[in-house]
Amino acid sequence: MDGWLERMRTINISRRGFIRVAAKYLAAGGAAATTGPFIIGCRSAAPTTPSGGQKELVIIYGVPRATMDPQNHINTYDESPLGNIFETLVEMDRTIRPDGWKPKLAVSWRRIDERTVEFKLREGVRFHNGEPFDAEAVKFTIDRFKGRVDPNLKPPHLTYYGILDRAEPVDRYTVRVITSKPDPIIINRMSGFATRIVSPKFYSEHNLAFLQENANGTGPYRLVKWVRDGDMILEANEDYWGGPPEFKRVVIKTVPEASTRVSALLAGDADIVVAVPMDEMDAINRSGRARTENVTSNRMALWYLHPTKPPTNNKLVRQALNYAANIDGLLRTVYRGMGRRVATIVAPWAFGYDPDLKPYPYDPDRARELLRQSRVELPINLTIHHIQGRYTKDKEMAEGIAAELNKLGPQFIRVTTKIYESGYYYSIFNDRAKRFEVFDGIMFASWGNWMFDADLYFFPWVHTASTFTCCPDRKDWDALIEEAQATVDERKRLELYKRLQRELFEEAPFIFAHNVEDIYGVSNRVEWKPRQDEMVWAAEMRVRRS
Amino acid sequence: MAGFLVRRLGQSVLVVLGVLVLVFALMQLTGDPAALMLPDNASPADVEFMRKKLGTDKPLHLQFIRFLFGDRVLGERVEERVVEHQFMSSVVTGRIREHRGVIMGDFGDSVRFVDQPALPIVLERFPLTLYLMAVAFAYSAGLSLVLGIASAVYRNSLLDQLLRALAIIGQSVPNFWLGLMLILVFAVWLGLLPAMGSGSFEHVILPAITLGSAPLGRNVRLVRSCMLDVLGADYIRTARAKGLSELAVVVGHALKNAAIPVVTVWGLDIGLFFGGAVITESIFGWPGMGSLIIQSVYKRDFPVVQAAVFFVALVFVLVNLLVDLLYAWLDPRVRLAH
Repeated sequence: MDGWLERMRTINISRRGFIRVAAKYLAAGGAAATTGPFIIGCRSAAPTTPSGGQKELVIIYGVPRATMDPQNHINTYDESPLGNIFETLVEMDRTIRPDGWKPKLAVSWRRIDERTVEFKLREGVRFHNGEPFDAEAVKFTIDRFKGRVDPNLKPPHLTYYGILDRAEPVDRYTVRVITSKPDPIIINRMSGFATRIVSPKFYSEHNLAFLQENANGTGPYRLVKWVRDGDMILEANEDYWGGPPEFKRVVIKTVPEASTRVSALLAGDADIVVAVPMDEMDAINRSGRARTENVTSNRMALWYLHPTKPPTNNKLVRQALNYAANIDGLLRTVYRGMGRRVATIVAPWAFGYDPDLKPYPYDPDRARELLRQSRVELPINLTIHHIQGRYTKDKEMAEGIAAELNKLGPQFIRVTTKIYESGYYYSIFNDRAKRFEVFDGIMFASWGNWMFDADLYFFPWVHTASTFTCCPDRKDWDALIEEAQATVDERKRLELYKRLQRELFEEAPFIFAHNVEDIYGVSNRVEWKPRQDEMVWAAEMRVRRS
Repeated sequence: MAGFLVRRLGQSVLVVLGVLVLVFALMQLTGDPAALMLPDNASPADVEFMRKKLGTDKPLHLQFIRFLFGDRVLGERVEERVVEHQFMSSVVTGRIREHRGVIMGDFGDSVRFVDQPALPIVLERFPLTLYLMAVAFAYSAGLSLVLGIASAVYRNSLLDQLLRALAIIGQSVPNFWLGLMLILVFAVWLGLLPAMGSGSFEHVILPAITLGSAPLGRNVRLVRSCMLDVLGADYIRTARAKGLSELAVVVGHALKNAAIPVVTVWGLDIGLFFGGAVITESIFGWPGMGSLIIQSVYKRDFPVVQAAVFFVALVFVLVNLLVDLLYAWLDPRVRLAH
């Protein structure tokens, strides 16, 4: 037996004596640690490679994938990985802007009339199983989500794609997409979710259960294997029309715990991790092995004000809240200067944005004055209903807004926050009747507009027919929204949205807030800049050459 | 022995029935499940159909009977039909089909994995959790025996004090914290083990240590005190007086008698492992049953949660039944006392 073990075995010591000695050593150890190199970056800073070698890429999400069927989901975290496998006719540029539409499977397009756009298709493209991509595939794709292939498929996004009526092939590589009503945003609709192009043979031969787990697209990667809640494994499509991607194998993993995602990145077990907590950015950037990349996302945070219950059913109260919330100050402090303030509910890069409309300034005096004028009984009592941990700093922003509003003084306002588990929260918030009945005051909401058009803000959040309507009494706005939906003339349409934004600003049915920041952790061996539309596509990544 | 076995089996069946009542109640806690599952613009006919389908239009006791034995027991026939469900913020379509009752292993179809029966989803994930639990058990049980015996044999030595201190630390450190620290030290700082995922034996080491450390701490203390009790007994003195080696005395004579309470606790540890697995699997991204339960709760996938809770309870009951039988084998007094 080793000497030290022998000594430990034979030395007799009372418990009290042991505690005394241990305390002494712990104190000495603590003193040494505070002066010693007790930091993460003490090891060699050489970037490490996941076990599969240079050509393998590991991406970690926080949420698991629900399906491999691109036409049967409405989640960004499914759309993003599926974009490696399936493609669309057109694609938005990495930096979103109204004229940012780029050719993808279509090489060009032109509008025929208010209901029709003609697309010229890329020639010589094949699906992963060898089926050719042509006008028939586009026709089939629309037929499929319209339920004309398998009546059991009822996609969750028909509200937004139902207007696409059919596609008519003109010749093998020319197709006309026809809507049931005049539609200014046909192009936008052909850029994701329901309109990711699927292959006619494969998707008519197999049933929905099979297609939930298998995939056949034209994209730069083909699906090798997907395990529910587990890994999704992709391999490079060497015959890809745009040239084979640099990383030959991509493993998409799920780790719900954010600290573990960051650790995996620092340990070299991952190349890209999504949803990095703001507080861990410095540790990653100090590590020498990875860095953070952030981009102001297309996702918007909003604070929905209860439209019918007092005191938020009073317009002056709602305006006062907008003057007092100090969103700019909170973005500086809580959000570390990231994110982007918006005047209403339209992101600056979306079509329809009014650049002349400035956000509510921070003006607590004006807020107090408005509260006095509102003739509601002061102080008003408000609750902020919110969730935690789903979006960057969601809880901290709720608490920050509460604190800012309370600064108006207890004689004016008393705000408390109430936190919910997000599944439960959305089971109430997403149900119009329950939301109006259960909640009051201020409610957290967020919205990712995947068509980059003002309609996808105004219809869901304002139109009285929508579940999420802010303003069930403003039927007069419905007509404006519907008119904009059917106006193909861009200038006229823009004017309509400007008018809507100004009226919405005045009505203040939300505390207008900001676009959120997407923060990614990226291994130093990978070259990649994140996209604004939350899509993480491996074909856009390169091995970093130093 | 046969009588003991029958009695224990009867008790186990009662426990399982109790669990079924609780699992059934889980569904009732959410209010009207039909309203929960259908989109808010569903037609009254769809709501009516869904209520009828779920049986929520019937008195509670009939609902429970249907839950256990299926639609046929109540003499009802359900034709297959596709309906729309509310699922989080979106609407999904799902098949409505005949409920065959949990007695046939039918907990209904998952909402998240549209149209897939709930129980097979749970069973598919079980092997990975079982693997994790087995390694955690081997680590906690094996090491606790060695360390507990060493602690007892060298009572009051420095080794004993050190082991007892470590045992208390192991027992009191929360496993989510321990998991994150292990990742930081062994994956990020030392680069010895993977930070997350599954696939090789290396992947299971950190999650197993995370899962097994609390039981290890407690079991070291338990083995120590049980051994101390036994080592002071007359027959040990007799064994020593016979001139047996210390190893033969400790392992051959003391251990079996000291093991009785330890084995019972091992059985209870299974429950602790299932509970701990939910957290541990989430931390390490281990795609087992624990992470399935978390995701299903989060997504309000009740059929899967029900199936998983029932399955965990069933395994727990079975393991404890086994432990009791082992107990009876180890200590004849147990079976004679009844």
